[in-house]
Amino acid sequence: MPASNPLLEVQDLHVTIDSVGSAREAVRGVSFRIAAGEVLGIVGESGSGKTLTVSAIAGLLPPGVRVGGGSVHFRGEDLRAASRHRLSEIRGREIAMVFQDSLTSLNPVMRIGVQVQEPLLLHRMARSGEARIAAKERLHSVGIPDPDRAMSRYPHEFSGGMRQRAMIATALIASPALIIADEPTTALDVTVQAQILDICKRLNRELDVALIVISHDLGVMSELATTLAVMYAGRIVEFGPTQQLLAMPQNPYTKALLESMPRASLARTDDLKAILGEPPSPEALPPGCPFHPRCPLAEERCRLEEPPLLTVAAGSESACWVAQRQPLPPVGSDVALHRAPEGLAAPRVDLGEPLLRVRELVKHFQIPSGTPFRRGGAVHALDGVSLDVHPGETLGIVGESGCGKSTLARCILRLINVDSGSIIFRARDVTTLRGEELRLLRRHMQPVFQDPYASLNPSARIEDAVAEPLLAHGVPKREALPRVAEVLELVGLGARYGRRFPHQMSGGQRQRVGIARALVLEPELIVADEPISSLDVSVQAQIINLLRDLQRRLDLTLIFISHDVRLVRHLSTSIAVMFLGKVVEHGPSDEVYSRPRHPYTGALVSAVLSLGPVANGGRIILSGDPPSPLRPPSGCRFHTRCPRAQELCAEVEPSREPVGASHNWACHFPLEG
Amino acid sequence: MIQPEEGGTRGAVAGPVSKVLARLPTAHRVLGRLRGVELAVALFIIVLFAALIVLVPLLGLPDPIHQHLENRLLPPGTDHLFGTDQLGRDVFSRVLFGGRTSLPAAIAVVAIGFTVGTLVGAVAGFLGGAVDQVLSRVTDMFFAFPVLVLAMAVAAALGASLVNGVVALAVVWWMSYMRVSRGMVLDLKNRDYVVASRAAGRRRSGILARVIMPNVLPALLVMAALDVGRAVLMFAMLSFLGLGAKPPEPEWGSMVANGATVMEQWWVSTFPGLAILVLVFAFNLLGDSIRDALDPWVRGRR
Repeated sequence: MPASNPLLEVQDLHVTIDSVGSAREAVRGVSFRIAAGEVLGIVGESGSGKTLTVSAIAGLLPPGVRVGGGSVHFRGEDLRAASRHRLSEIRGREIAMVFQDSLTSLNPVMRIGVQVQEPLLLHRMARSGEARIAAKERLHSVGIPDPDRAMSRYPHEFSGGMRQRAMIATALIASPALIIADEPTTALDVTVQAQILDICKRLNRELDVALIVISHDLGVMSELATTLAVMYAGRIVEFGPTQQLLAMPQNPYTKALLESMPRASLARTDDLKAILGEPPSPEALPPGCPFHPRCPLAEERCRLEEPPLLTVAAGSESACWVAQRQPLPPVGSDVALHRAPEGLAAPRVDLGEPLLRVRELVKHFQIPSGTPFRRGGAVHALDGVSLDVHPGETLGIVGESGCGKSTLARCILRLINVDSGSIIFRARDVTTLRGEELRLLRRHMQPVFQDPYASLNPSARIEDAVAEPLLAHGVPKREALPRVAEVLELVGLGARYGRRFPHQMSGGQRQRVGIARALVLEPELIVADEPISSLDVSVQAQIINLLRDLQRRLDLTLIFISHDVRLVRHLSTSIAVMFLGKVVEHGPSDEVYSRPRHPYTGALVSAVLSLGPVANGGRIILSGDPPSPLRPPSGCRFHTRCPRAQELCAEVEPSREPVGASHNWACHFPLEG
Repeated sequence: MIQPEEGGTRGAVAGPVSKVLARLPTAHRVLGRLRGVELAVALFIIVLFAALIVLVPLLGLPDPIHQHLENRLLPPGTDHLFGTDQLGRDVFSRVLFGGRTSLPAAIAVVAIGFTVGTLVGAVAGFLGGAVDQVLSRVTDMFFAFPVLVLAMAVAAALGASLVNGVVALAVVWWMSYMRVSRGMVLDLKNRDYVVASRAAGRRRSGILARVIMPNVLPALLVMAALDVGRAVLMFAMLSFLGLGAKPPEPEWGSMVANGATVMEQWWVSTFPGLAILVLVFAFNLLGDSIRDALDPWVRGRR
């Protein structure tokens, strides 16, 4: 299609949110065009207006939100002027949508097959027999095995990855010209994400469908998008061909985002280059360029005038006064400045007696069968986990959802009881502790939770929340409060935050409170379960740096749980890889990351989306979904997905070898070191 | 996936089209104002009743108990605003003095029910297991009786008196608080912040009292405020049947019962009845506006 006649053209789009007595602009003048077969990525943090932009295009804005101005033309037709009837004709037939949460976007009481056919029948594009055949074909083309059986299933019988495939099949069935996908892989595990991205790329290539993909993840964008739009505070701040934009970002925000990600080239002792502050809320945008309070390059003009989006020397478009004058320095050129101070470079690990020794830990969760007099199944959350943690060590635990990593954390913290096995902490088995003894143990090990919104009592002030562990262990309030102020200072908040309530703070600030609370008792061990995964991208690096800083200053022993193997490698001294209730590989962090021996570790490391072009065939994409923890496969639990599996793997479960070595793995046919 | 026409679910994006949206703010404002009126009317009536009840001894009204047989069954007029009853007592005075029995009795019923129900529910939800089973089944047993019949049985067994009437009603009043309190505690006790308190080393009693209950009580208090109107009605019913306040004492329910014997003199029963009606109506209005303000779904739709 000639450039003069794009598939979709958005001009100066404004979206306004009406609230009582006021209206605020959440999207402030967004323009772009997309040609047939193109893949446009829109990247931005929560609140940047990316979802509202595409909802406005499809005419699916939620109540109370309206298009405040601008135009949307699809194949030359003005969508804002289109009637309601015409809009619903276009939706599903010409423009289809894929949402993030496949569980709530699929109707739970309708069979998959019916939902996939629905667009065809709604638009009277096929009779029901034909629609059935078409649905089967589509399900097959998105990689759903046995489409016949899948058609008669309900959404809850599918895994997240399978549901997302079904949604894509639904979007595709009417052969639309444009698919809008809002965070299509965010809710998925990394190995499944790799599959879905692969499908998206293939469909775009084979069917010539144009795609608009929304994500906060630059790695996903690098993989999928041909053109990238970076949004910040309701506007596009940078626009250009993806690879060029990622290699030579011409907006300080894009550059800062790229620099805040842990890269392979970054030494483990280096801090991440965090972005200051937090994204602004649409109600209180700073004057001038909205990024200026966080921008290292900000100058006088940035504080006064908002820069327009203009083509800069490097060829992409950027809304930045500085970049419009001279090209920005390349990514990472000034990272050396953030090297850790000498002498504090690495936490001291004492390899003598371990602080924590976990042996053969087993935890099954019973599931009621739903039928009287019949035993239900059991989720095998932990099936014989053994690990040592030495004083000063940071152990990173990685694995996909359902592998048992959070259960392990809760067992170690004794928040749930174990079925069997032992946890030796400070030279005594803590699995048998009860009542008061257990309560006193808690002083020595503290958790940091994943969701800073859920882990703080909404009705307690910050200082009371942080003081709680002290008071619970008999420290008088007089002595507790100065200590609270001290710890709040330590996590970079300042004592003045003490009087606030959780709802008056941002996610990043709350997570700092969560960390302060864990530190206040000066415990020997901190267990952090996905402490950054619910934070905005530009805030994540701050929290990681904070944890590293505390690690060095306080000689913390830390168990850090994450699904992001790159992050774990950056923060940890050693890594344990979990799969379906077992530790399949354990060893020093750099060694496990750069020379993985277990094929599963290999796949996890390979699923890390690096920025920049990917060599074809360079990535291991696992087939299928993680097996169900209700019925773990025989032998090696990974054999159903393993590219190296042989007959032996289905029969004999491998044990972790070499015994006693610092780096060991449970595999019959390990990768070459 | 593709949204069916008219938006479909309340999921990520619900979507009527922009034209409808443009009209929404006006509708919102109208409804918003209406809601304000409801709340104002309810509060006005309740405050007025409360003030009259408190101040009635200062108003210089005729004694509500002393009989003037020569003034029997006088119709409403300037001397007696609401007329007089069979024993020559001023109905207006008796209605106002009756409020001093009815409203405090209703509040006492709700307060006892609230306290007992909330405590039992909190303990059942927090401890779980066998304790929960026993307490929940006991609650179910109470629920299984017709409320009024059980209250009558209790009141009759204890003997008719004001206090016994309150006790009888409280016996049938606590179960819904128990259910709600138990449910909320069950929900909250596995929230991250409660687990965090456990990990901080707080004692179990402290977790229930200091962490969970402050987050449960506001909703239950709202529920209690809404319940007062219903309690006024129930107490009047009990008194109407002769099981609440004892005869010479003015009380709305017994006054209606008393007036029912002289139907031609409509004022004897109508005015106390109206008092019940208006007060209960006000509490229901109050309840509606509080619930609407609290319910995010109703709020989101307007």
